[in-house]
Amino acid sequence: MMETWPKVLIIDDDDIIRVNLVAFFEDENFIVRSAISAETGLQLLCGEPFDVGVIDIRLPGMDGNRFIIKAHEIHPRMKFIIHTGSADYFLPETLAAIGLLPRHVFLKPLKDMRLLIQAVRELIAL
Amino acid sequence: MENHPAKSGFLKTFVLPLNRFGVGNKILFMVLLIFLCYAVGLSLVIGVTSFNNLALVTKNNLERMAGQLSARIVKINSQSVQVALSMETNYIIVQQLQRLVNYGPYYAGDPSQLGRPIEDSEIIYAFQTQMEISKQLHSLQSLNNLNCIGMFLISPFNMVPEAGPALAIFLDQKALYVTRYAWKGNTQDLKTYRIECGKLQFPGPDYFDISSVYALPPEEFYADNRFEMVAGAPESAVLTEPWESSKEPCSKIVFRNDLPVIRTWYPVNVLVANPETFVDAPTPSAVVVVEKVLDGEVLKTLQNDLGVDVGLAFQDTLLITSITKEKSPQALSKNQTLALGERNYYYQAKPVRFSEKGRPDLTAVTMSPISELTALTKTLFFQIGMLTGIAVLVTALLIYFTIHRIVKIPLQGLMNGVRSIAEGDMEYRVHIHSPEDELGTLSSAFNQMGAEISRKSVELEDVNRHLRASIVELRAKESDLSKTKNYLNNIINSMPSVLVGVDSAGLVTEWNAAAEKVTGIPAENARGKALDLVYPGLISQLEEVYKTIQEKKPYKAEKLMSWVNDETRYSDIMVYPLVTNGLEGAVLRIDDVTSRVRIEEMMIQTEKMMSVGGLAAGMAHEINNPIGGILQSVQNIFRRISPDLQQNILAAKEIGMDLGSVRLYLQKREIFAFLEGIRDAGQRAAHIVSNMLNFSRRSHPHCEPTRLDLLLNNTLELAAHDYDLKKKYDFRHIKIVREFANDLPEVPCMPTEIEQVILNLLKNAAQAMMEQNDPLKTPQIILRLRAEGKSAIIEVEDNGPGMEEKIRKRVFEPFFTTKEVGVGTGLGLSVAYFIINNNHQGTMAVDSTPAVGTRFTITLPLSGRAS
Repeated sequence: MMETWPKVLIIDDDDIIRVNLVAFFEDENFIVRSAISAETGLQLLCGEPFDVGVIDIRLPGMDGNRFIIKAHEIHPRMKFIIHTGSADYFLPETLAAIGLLPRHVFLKPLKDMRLLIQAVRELIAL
Repeated sequence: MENHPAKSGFLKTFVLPLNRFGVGNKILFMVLLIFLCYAVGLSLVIGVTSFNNLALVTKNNLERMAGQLSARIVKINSQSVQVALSMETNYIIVQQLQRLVNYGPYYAGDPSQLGRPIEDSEIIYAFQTQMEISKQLHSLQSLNNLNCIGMFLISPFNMVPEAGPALAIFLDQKALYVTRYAWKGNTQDLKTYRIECGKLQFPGPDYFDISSVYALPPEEFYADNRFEMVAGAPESAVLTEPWESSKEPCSKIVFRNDLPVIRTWYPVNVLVANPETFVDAPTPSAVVVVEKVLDGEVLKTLQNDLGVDVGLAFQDTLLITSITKEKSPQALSKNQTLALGERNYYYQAKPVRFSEKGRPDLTAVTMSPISELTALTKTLFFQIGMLTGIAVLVTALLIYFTIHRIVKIPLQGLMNGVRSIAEGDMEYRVHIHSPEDELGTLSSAFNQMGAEISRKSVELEDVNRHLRASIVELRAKESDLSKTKNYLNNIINSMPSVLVGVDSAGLVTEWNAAAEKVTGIPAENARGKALDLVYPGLISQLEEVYKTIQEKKPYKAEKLMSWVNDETRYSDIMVYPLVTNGLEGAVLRIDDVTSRVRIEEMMIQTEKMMSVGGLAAGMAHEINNPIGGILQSVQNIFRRISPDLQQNILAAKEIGMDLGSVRLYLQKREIFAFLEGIRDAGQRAAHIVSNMLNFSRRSHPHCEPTRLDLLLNNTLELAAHDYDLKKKYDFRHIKIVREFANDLPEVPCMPTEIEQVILNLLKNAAQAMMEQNDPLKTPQIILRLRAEGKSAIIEVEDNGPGMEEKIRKRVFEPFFTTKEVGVGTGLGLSVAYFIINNNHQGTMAVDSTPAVGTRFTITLPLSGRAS
């Protein structure tokens, strides 16, 4: 039963954001793992698969974009939501090529995290 | 002084026209003129003299003729005298007279018989004698062409003392009169009988037969011979002349019907026996009377004979002439001329005397018409004239040929020379005819002159060539100059800048087309006027202009503000001193830089926004994360105290706490309100940051063709639902007017952005109208939509309180707001401005009048934006 619950990976270097997102997803009954950097996230991916990743773009070390590509190589079925603070973020071709759409990009500050939940559920349902 | 005009008149009329002719011709002309005058004078003198001479000859001739005429008249008289004298030699008359006197004492022989009636036989006897004498007289009358002839019996030896001439026979050209005594020896009661000449028929020799004639009584006897008794004889048939003293025939002039008549009388002597002695002696027994009328016919005959007009005058009064039939007596004047009919005559008069003593009886007059003389003179004059004319012509010709040879041919040669030189043949030389005279000298001088001219003209030609070249060069330069001038004028007038030239006194010297356009004053009116009069906008700069001229240093003033038609205009003014060519003055260049200033202002505005945008983009990430943390934390807090979440209840139970109590506590301590305060503040900060981020150059979604009317309606609906936000305005109380054009095509734009702009404007309008407290004014927003050229126009107009100019100018500035702190961010209009200007390449403007309203105007290009 527990195994059927979707697993979400949240990567954000900002602690307060990451903690809040984890809390919100847990309250919505998701299995949530979080990482402070892309590199840490990749280690988590090697251990277990995830359904959806909520990824920050500006990260220390490897950035969000590269992480998504790497994660996709490891788990091609894994879906991604981008949650960035860059107002001028532009969805790269490489990400669009693996199925990311503008509506999967959320700009910070995100006032209502239910929107994020809704987007994740949609991706899992696919 | 007075002679002068006459002289000049003469010069003009006669001498000046001569200048056309050559010298030779002139001399000839003058000679001819002199000769002509001479001829005319001569003819006049000859004519007048000849006329006078002719008149003299005529008068002499007339005098001679008058003498002849006088003699002819005397001759006519002597004819009458001859007739009178012929009585004594006429046998029949003498016999009959003797019979009457001697044998028939005829009423008077016996004094005792005096006064007794006369017997019939004696009456008839006397009649017979009268008829015999009448027959003789009749033939004499006819023969001598006499007008009257008569015979009056007188008593010889005065036998009847008181008896006058009686038993008269008188014959004129009309009738025969005979008289008889009524009583013996008594001449009283004479009886007169008359017979017209046409009826007269003298009785034959057998008529006076006793048996036949005497059978009739005397009166019937007269009647038988067609005589009729008349009361008296005519005047001429009465003898009034003094015949007793006349021994010779006498003549005198009497008048009958105003015609002069020569009356001649003569007592005829016959042998009569003296009654005392009975001796026969020649005794006057009867007086014969002859009359000759000098009438027109007589004069006509005389005129024919003498070949001159004749007339007769009595005592200096002209009675009759051969010229006119009318008798118009006129006095003879002393100057020997008289007028008859319509002509004037010369006349000469000579007296006519029938006897040698006493005054002349008549005056013989001869006449000659003056006009004849005049005609004669004219002919003479003409002939003389002709003769003189020919003489003059011949002389003139002679002189002409002389002059021609001596003067004209050399002159002609000289003239040809002059003409040739005039025509350019400088080598022409004149042939010298006679080197000694003046013309010869002139000719050689001329040749010398020709040579000199020839030399000079070569030099002149040289100079001319140089001059021509210079002229061509000058013309080319002039043309260049003119072109340059036009070119410069074109440049000056084509310039959009106002160019004004002034002299040192500040008077306008140059005024270009732009200056005309700006001031509305044409260049010709502006020139020479004071600068401040024709360009009032420059009054503030006048000092600087003078300073520039004095110090010869350029001056520049930028963005000078002025108000034209309630609009702020900006001008740049440059004043350059004129220092070249000693021309004191300056040139002013004035540029209207209003639009440039506006663009600059707009660019500054945009630049400001861009810098804000850049700043926002730079810090967005850093700010958005904490804001996100705040907002998400608050959301998690709310969720984790919510009674709806199963985990919350479980967690509360785990620590032995009731969630409801927790919530009551939180409520009691107003924790929820603080949390909401955190959330609102976070959201506001997020809103500010996101608006600031709008100014950044970020990539835009594509434009899509949009129906603006639908967009506007949609926006109005959104606005209506937005009213309840903090109740600052209420859209339901605002009257919305839509003025949408039907034919607007779809406009390429980003609908959400345009919606955002319109919504912002509507909110501003609504808020502004809430601020005014005029209950009479219904708040109203007019929304207009139309196409204008290549743009779509959206207007949002309210009837709110409007804005002061200083506010209006700043409404698009970021962070500028008139609202209370917390009501607005001061970014709404800036963002709208940025969206329209930057994202859509459109424009956005605001007009506002305090207390009337505000209107925002947005233009969007119809052709899509150029990215």
